[in-house]
Amino acid sequence: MNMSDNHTPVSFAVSADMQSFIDAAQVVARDVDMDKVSQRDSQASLDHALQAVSALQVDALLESLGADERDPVLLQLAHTLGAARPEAAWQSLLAALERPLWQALGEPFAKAQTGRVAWAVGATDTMSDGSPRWVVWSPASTLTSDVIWLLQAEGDRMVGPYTLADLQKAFDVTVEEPVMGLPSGQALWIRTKVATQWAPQTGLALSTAGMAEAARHQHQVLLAGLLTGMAQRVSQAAYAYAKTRQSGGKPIMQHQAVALRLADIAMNQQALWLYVQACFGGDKAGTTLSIGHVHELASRVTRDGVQVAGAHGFVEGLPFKRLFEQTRTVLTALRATAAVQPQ
Amino acid sequence: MHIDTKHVIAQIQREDHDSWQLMQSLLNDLGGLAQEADRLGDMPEHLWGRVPVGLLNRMNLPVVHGGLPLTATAVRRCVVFEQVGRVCPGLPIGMPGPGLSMPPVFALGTPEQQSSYFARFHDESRPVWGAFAITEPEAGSDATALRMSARRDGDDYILNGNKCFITNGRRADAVVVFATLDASKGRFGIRAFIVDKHTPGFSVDRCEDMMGLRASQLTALSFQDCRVPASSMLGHNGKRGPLIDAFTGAQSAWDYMRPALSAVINGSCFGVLDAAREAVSGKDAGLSTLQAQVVQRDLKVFQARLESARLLALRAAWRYDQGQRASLDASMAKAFSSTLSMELGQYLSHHFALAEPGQRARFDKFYRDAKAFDILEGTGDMQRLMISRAFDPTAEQAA
Repeated sequence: MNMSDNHTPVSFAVSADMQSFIDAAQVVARDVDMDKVSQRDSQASLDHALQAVSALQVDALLESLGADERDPVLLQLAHTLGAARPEAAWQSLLAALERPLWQALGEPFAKAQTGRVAWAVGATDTMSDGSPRWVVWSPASTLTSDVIWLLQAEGDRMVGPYTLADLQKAFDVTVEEPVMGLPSGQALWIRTKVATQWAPQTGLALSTAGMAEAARHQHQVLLAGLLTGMAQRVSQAAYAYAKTRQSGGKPIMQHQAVALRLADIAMNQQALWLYVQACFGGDKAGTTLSIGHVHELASRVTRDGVQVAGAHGFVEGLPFKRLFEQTRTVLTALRATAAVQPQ
Repeated sequence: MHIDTKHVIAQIQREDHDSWQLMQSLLNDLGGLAQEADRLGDMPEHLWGRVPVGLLNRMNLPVVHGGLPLTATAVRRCVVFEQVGRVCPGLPIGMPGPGLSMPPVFALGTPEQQSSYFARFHDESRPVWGAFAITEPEAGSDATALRMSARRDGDDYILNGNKCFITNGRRADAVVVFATLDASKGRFGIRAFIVDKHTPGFSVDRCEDMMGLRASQLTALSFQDCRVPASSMLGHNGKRGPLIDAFTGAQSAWDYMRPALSAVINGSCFGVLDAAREAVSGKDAGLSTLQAQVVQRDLKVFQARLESARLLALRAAWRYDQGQRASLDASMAKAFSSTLSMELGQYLSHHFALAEPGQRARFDKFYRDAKAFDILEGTGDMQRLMISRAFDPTAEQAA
């Protein structure tokens, strides 16, 4: 399968194969678009979006692709779906990424593919006092009833399974609910009570045979795609607002200060998208992701988007507040994925 | 998306080995020459005895008019000029060749005008420059408001007016000059003329004392009753011809040059980043251990920003080579690179403020050069105004 135009050494063309995946994702994106559906905050709307994304059967799709093709396809899907409905894209695509892991572990864990199993993506860091931490995200469901596995920050081992009650006995656990920008989202912040390297006293310690690391990497691709999609949505919303909002008898985009800000949004959004594609595009660019750079560009885009709309960007209604907050949360999650492989 | 610049270099080496070798040897010398050129505010004369000037003259010519495969495409120019920029950004802008005057001649000129104009750069005995003159004291970013007049008089045109900030204007054998037949017609009154340096009425008033990029001279030109044959008007045979929007020719020059200029800027940033990485842990850097760690981390982020800048420049170049509209991408590339370079210059200036002067010299020069990037060939603000108008976030290319 050809994901890029390899006929010339430098090409920014989208291949026909890739375009077919984009087209499929766009059909779903239009159906679940956060800024177009009515009753956007209803659970029914969210459930519908989760189902619609799941129907793409991304796990089967990725399995059918060659190793070099998975990242660019996943990135494009996350980008397209993330622009429309970030929490549904995050939740459903993450579940699709994890599913092969549970299947490989065999019974009884394979059953998890039909339910929601959360696991620690990786320790956010080994803190200065020597105590390891973990964070686990659930953008659109309840972690409190899920089963948690802890992935060791170094090595290739998962320990578990734990319920929340199990974890609370053995660890300091903070439940963050809701997560910024995600009304249905949850995050568990888990750290050892004793400031030493943690050794599991209970549960199973399973080797993941490299699959956990692969899933962590793919989670990074997924989050980067969500960020670029959300940045694109910010630029679309900012331009749409600036073309219609009047001030001094003309659209505000005709005022130079606003025009310059729009240009920065466009430029930073495009710079972010090209950079992330170079990191995960599966070609020979070979760029290693700098989370600091991604953070800088994505933050600038959402910051400027809110500013274009002024107070209207700061309150509920237009998409700017939502995207500002969601971008912050996804950036935090992206930072967490760097624990195993620091930037 | 597919980026393989090593493949681009391999293609160049296969098709134009001699020019590639020349460039590599030139790069080895440029480091020392850059300091001298900066001090002189000029290209060092002894450079011409060390390189085959015939190749330099032809570097920016269209291939059909004797140009080199080395720089035959916009993507190749990006790859090549990034390497040159790593060593010194000022020298490539001041190098011989037609420079910015090439695209309007190639876009608007008749076959005879093209052959005649480009042939002068086939000289292998001496460096030959061309120049592009559109900016005026009262018409900079708003180039369509230029006031220099062209009045028809028999088989000639009479040019009157002033031009300023013209790169290589003093050295140029000929200048492509933009003037208006009728200022009330705005851009549609503008025409471009090839004016030979010895034409009576044409004079070089002065070279500016610049803050940076000093090897590329900015000059002020004046035209007083400067009579040129009507056949020197680009696209016009002197007797009749279609209405030619010469401003489109100017735009083609910017689309042509901005990706390459962005590559020069990016190259200079890559070069100074390499120097900073080397300096940061040395005792001459004037940094504590903790400060050095912070700087090392920040330099990694600057490196990633540069990757974004490089991709924007390559995309603009790729669109140009594909025959697509490249103005938006070219403006993005130029604005992003120049903003980044100034921020990098300020960062290095602050964090290496206490470095030994010998070590700081490279950063000091970059600090001066970087400011120029946000001004020349369209200021950052004007690039952004263009971007804000042209960008369509719903278009396929924005996705």
